[in-house]
Amino acid sequence: MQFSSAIFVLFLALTILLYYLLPKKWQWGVLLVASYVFYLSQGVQYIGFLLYTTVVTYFTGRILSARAKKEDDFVEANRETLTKEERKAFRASEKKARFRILLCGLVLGFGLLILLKYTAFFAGGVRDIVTAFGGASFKIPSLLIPLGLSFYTFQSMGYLIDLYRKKITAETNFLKFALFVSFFPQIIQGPISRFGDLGKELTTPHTFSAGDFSAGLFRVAYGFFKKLVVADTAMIGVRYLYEHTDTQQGIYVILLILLYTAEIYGDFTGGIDITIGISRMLGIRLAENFNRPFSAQSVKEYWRRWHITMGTWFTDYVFYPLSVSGGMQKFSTWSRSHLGNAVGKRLPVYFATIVTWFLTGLWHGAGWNFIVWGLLNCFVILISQELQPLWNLFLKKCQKLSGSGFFYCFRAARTFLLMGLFRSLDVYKDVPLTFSLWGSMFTTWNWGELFSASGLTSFGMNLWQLLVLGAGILLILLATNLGKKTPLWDRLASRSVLAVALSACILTLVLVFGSYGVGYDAADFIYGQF
Amino acid sequence: MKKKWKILIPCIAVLLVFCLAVGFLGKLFEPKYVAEQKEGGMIRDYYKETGSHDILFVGDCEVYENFVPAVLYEEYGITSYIRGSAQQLVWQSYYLLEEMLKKETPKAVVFNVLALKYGEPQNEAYNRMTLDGMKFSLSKWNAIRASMTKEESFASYLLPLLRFHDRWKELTEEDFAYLFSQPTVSYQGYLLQTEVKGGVSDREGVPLTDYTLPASSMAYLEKMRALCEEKGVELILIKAPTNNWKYWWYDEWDAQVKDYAEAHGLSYYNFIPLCGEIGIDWNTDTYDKGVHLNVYGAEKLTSYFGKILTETRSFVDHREEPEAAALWDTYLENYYLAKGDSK
Amino acid sequence: MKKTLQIATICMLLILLVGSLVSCNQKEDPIQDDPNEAGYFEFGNHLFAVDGEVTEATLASLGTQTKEPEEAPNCAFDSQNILYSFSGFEVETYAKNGKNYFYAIYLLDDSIVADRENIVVGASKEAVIAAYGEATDAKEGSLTYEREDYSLVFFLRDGKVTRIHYLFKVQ
Repeated sequence: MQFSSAIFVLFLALTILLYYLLPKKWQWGVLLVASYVFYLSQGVQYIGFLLYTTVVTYFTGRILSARAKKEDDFVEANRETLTKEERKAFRASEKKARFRILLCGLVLGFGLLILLKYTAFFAGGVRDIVTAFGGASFKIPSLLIPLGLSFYTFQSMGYLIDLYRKKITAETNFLKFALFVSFFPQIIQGPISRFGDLGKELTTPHTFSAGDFSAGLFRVAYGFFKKLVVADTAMIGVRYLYEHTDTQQGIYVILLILLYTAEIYGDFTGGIDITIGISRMLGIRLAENFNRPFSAQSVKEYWRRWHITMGTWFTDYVFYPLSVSGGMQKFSTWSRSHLGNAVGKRLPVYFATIVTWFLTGLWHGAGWNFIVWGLLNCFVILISQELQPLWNLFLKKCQKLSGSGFFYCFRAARTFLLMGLFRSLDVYKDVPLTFSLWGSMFTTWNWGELFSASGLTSFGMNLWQLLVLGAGILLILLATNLGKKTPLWDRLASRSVLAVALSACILTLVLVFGSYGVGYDAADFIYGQF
Repeated sequence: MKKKWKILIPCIAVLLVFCLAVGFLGKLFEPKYVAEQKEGGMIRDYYKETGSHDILFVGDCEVYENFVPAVLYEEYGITSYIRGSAQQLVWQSYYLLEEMLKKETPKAVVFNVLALKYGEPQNEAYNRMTLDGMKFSLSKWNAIRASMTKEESFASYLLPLLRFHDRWKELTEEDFAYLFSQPTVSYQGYLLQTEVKGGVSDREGVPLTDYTLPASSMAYLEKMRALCEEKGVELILIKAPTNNWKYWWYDEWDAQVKDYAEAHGLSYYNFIPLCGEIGIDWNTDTYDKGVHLNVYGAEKLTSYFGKILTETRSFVDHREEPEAAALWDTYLENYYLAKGDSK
Repeated sequence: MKKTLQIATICMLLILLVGSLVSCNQKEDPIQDDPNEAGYFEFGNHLFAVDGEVTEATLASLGTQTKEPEEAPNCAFDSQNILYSFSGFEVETYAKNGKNYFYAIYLLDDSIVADRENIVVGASKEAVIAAYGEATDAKEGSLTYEREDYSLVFFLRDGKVTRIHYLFKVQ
């Protein structure tokens, strides 16, 4: 059952109907049943993995929470008798104990992810080493990777870490917790939610609100437009270009970068629009995952605007704890005293940044292309951090230029192209091949080929598809611009009838101009693979 | 409360307009099968047919290219209709027959057995040609379910827009002219072909590893037989004459059909060995190298079959019934007019 | 001293980064798939893509045609299957979007090798099994081997191969 299938539309309609018609106390039950039906429809064989993560996280959470409560109760009960130092020592020892529990949970949770998603990759590395030393090669069994595994594992592990940090208290109702892990609109491709935000949202009763419902509907329609009209049309060209890398070089690499950017933008932001839209139709608010990413002025800013929930997850649960960990403090002291302030101060930050980006790359997939992609992002961020003083000086010197709209556009375009360039590693997959193709942009001068009479149809798309894609992108630009201050769906929340009418118009456009059905290969959402 | 209705009523109106738009666009984008690929228009032609029939033909191209109802009437006074389309599979023939037998009870149903060789759904394009022409009914529903290939979706048969949305750039005048109503493309289900393209080779069919006719197609033949029995209609099995290495009728298949017919007391006529007697000349009587007969071959075959029918069964001569004669004379005139025109 | 250490650290960092880039040269999966399974088939010393277009040049590479091609038009569509005859074998193509693709190849005598296993018409049933292993489908008069994109059929009479068919899985 894909989002863009007729059966899903029926399923959704039925779920929403039951959700609002049945008594309010059953609402979360309806969602839980719907979520499991949805997940089972993706393949019965996946359900065991989801249950495993749910059970492991639930019980680890309960143990963590109980231990924390015991700690607080003890401190409370002995407030009078314990000295400040004793209390501190007790708290510290308890924290260590809780950390051990957390560690168990993390190992069990991430263990499955690593086992299923990364074994083949690491085993491949081992095999390369073995064969390099003359050992016999061996076949690596391919393992089943459950849909949405990275997303629900990260969401669950985030829950455990939050519990450890006492930011939340554990959910005691197992079924309610199971819903938090499996909530159907978001399980395949995020956003990665926090229990502190979503946990309550899911289980508190919601009254039907015409405003929220129609705004959600509009957002779902808009998401389908992005996915079926823009992403899946761009995909036709992207697929052709990467299948013909022997001939499609030079200008075609730039073309692929542009087309793939349109594809991934339409696909991922469209998918998230559908997810958040459906949730809103149910009265549930999810965290935003995008904030006009292509207006970013720098790579760093881009990562605050694109796939926000993943970025903050890595910042909160990897970068930050790593930076303040005891080991890192010691390392920092050592490096300052031995390497001088300038290098010594930077080294720990660099280290934490590199680790974070290495893991971010790995999160996207078990492949060198993703790791290189992560490290390239890291590289650019660190370099620009180093050059910041120089840059600030430049901005100060040329205030007239730096304040101009032209300069704003220049910086946005530069970030856009750089991110697109890195992203092409996703498509070409093979790292050396990608590098040589990047090189071909400077060595193969075939611009004339593309802009010749037959050039526009030389990359697998016909003129009609180009027209649809172009018009689709223009419409998205228009919608984004209209929603600059307040997103369009929020502006429409108070005008339900208009929202519904616009949704109907958009859906009609999707039905006619979407790339689906016979002659098109059904395309899964890309982020479902991560 | 009042505020609620203020929102709800316009929303329902929007929804209605949306549904209408989807329906309308589906109609607009659907291929009309009038000037080209007329094979796709033949199933719907039946709904314009008036009067009853002595004989109903069902099957694939081997019925709609090889028998001429007008000639059967002209020579023997037998009224007939052909419900066939390109690569019409056995289950499609079954459900079409089911649909027709709700409307009329003929004396006999004639089924061409070539399609028995297909035990599984075959081809989306042919499926659409057969199924899209059917009016919505339980028979159509079941026919779709039985016919879909793995890549097809049921929803696209209910909402043709889902299948044909991509035709927005190929729309022609025909699509607008025949938006709501299309002219008939056949002559009582016969598709006129006047071209001559002989040159049949002496090559036989390529050997197969297994000559057993698939159980699934035989099961639908059995259903067809039971249906006819229930309605008191005779089922006649035929194999039309063909002479092409690709569309070969193997002796092993023939033996199985013969056995089936004998076991159930049905008549089975295989016209392939009778070509000489019928008078078919493979140089002049085919329009596509022996795959199908052209109109000259079809008239000969119809004549021959009519003779068998009247010699072995009794039919009322409708030429002597003023009302039927008036109707069929116009059919006859239309047919000869078209045949003359295409010369 | 401190400066030396500073430079050394920066160098180390750079090496780390470059090293991680260079080590990406390894292919993800060095075990190559069997060419029989990967969209290609071997025939008469040529390797053909299963879904490759059959052009005049493809046909010319197979040798001289011994007869005029024979056509079998399809119902309703302006397309046809065509059978090309060569010495000892025949090639049947089907049409899709105005292009011709392999539908089947029929080997009729021992003038051409079946494929790299050296089985020719006239070989014994035992020789086929020795070369190909257990058949996917074994019948009295034939042995069928299913490949990813086609099936290979050996027709047998009196324990000897009489014909060999490549039947491609047409989409």
